[in-house]
Amino acid sequence: MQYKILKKNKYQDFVKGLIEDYNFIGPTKKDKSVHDFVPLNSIEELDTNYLKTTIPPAKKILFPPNEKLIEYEIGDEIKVKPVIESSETVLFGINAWDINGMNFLDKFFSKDFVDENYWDKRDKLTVIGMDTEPTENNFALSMDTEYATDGFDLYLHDLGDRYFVRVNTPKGNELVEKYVDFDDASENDFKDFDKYMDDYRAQFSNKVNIKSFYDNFEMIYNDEEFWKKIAKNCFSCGSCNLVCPTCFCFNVKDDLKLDLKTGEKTREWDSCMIPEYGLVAGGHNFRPNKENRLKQRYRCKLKTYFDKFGQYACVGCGRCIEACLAKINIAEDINSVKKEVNV
Amino acid sequence: MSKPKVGVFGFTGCGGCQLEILNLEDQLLDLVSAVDIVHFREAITEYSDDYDIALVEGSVTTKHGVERIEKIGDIAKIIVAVGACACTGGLNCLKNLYGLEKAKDLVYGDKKDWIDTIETKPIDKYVKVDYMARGCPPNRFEIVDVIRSLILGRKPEIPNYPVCVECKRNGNTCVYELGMTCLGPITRAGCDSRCPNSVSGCEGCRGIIDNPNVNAQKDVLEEYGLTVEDIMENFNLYNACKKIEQK
Amino acid sequence: MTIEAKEKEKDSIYKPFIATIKGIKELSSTEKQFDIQIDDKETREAFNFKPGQFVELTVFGLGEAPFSIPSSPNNKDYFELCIRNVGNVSGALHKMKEGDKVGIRGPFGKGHFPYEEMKDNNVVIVAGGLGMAPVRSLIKYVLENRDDYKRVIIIYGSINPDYLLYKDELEEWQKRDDVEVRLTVDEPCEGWQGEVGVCTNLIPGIDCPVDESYVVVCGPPVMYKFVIKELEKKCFKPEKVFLSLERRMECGVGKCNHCHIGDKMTCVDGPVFSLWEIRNLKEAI
Repeated sequence: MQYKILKKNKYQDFVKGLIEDYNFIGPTKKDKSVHDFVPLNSIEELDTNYLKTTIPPAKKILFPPNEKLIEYEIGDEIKVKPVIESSETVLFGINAWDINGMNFLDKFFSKDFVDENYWDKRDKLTVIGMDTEPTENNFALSMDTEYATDGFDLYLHDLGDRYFVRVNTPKGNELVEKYVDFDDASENDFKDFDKYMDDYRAQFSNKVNIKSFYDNFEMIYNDEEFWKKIAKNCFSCGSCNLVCPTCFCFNVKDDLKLDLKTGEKTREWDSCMIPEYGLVAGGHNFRPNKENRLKQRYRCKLKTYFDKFGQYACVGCGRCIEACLAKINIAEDINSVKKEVNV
Repeated sequence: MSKPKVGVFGFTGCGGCQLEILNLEDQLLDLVSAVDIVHFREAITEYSDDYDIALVEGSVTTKHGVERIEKIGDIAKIIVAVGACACTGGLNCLKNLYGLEKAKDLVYGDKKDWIDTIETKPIDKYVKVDYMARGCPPNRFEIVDVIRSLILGRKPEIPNYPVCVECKRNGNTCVYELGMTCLGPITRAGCDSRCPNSVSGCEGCRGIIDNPNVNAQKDVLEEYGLTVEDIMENFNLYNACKKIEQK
Repeated sequence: MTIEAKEKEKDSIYKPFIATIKGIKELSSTEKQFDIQIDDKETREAFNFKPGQFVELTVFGLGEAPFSIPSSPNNKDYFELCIRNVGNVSGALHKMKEGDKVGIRGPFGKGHFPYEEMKDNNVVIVAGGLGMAPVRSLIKYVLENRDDYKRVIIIYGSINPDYLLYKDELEEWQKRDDVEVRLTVDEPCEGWQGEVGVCTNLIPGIDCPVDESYVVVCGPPVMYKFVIKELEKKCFKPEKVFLSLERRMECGVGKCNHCHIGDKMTCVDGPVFSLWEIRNLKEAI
């Protein structure tokens, strides 16, 4: 890691250079309270001071909601061709918990089998992080994801009159040298950054007791009443999954065109909360109840991948809490597992 | 394999479903090369009583309609209901809420005896419907999928999950967040969340999913300051037939 | 924005290789056997599977579905599949004929029957219905290397005699004096000489020492709970009891997540699990 300083008056030129040279994806205002990460052509459209995005930016780029996997052609013989599409892209303004969410997907899509459809895009992605204000539902501080230690090329922390820049990769360093002059960070800058991080962390008001969840969850696992209560209003609509930066479930569809000669297989985001999720050919459904599905979701988020990667499949972004019309709240539920144990 | 013969038939409705088939544009040529269309009043002058697959739009609202749908039921090997009117009764079912006589009075006054009208019903009340391509208007790509599935001999994949799934895939801001109401959480997907995509709430035109959490929907709507009447009005637009049945 | 579309022939884990249906045989009124040969010679030779593993089979235009491989791993030229007509893919397969092409990915599953470990032990097979398909691969292998194993006991149950799979092989095995075959059906027909009832009933009668015995179980989801109870009563060692589980294994490579059981994925961690693992997996049974 190298530490640099970018003066505020040079920031614009830096960003303009990036927009000029790259497929540049950054946050822009979408409606009332929501921003969206889209390809931008001018710095005027860029608004890094955002509170909410519906779909996590990294997931949207690297694991899009609909993605062609293979194309095939039926003739005398069947020709099959994998489809892997990518381009050099700069993802600008992604915050720490979303970077950590991407780090999770990085691990997931390389475990056991390497998913080239993900990694081809990931290899060509330059990630420039920036801190954003947490929502009231955000519990990233408890999940240790309010700060990113890896997964980015550059990270810009806004110290008011200047940016404290962490340079994590050679690729990031190239950008530092390319457009405008960055200064080396002085002892003073480090001190200001430390103070800045203290203040930033103080903004996270939502806290969860994740440390004791690991074993307590197993105790509460068979308490049907507890889970029925939590899942009572669940619509099984899957919103919580689809907006999650670490959810990776997908369905594969085989679409043969009407000419009955050419076709493709595509994957689309699926959700473990919808009833058909555990249904197999033959009609047996392995998880027909919504409380069982919710319970399995919590296991996947908070236990399974902690065992496998040492990282939770939950970064505490709070999107699922905000997306849930039934007001199912993962943060409250984590804490209520703890309370239940103490009764 | 010989090409299956397809007839497209219209009952009471706006006829927009037939237009949706014509709107297939670049896929239309593939469609007519995959099947023989032998009956399609909005598109061809010929008509035939010899067909394998019947695509039926509109709901049944007249005695004459009952005879026609029953005849289709006798001839067709496979019946596909196309659009909200054929699948759930659709808007036409609103009439049933008044009672037949009152509805006739209101609309036709003293000429009401001239009119052959009966209680509105979706077509599956008269014939066995094999598949449904739901919605108002129906998703034309889903119509193609149903036809393609029939040619390939597979079951068409009609979603049984709520519109929210597609809406989130499309990255929409929840319309509740924008101060509107939406039946998305209990309505069957497959429309690619068409209404929320253009920032307006779902009206349930594709009918309700198999196991909707209706109580939760009521809780949600009430929380957003809506009365039970608002909710029922929203439901009624496309699902009045279902509601009357449940009474 | 420039999109580079690249052909990375070997890199996509979702790309099936093309294979040909070489033979079709009816096994029962609902099951057919398909002999599948991978077209590309190099791929065929590299295709080495272990008993209990499965493949993802594509019928182009209809989709993909997982099927366990019932043939012997020693058969290198082609492999067999036993397919019940229940879904879109299996339904389409049942309509296909010799010479038709399908797509194959696999073999998949780190969890397979531990045929190496089982050597010098008794092998007890408990199969119900279609559950015969995955365990048949093991039976074949064990019988081909008969001297490496002690006693071989096969307990196989189905609804009625017609639904018993691989009838000619069952007969053949029954004739051998180094295999003990016990068949049972729920609805016997006239002249039925086997047992009547579920295969769970036959477990108490197993008379081999548990220290030197491996048990392998496969059957419909409802069967496991009862079989496990009986096996536990007999004090079989949980690390020596192996069960092949069914789940919705859509991608086969641990990505789509549909086959999650507790903290494991059936497709990569299974589909065969030891009873010891299953005890620590919530909702497995």
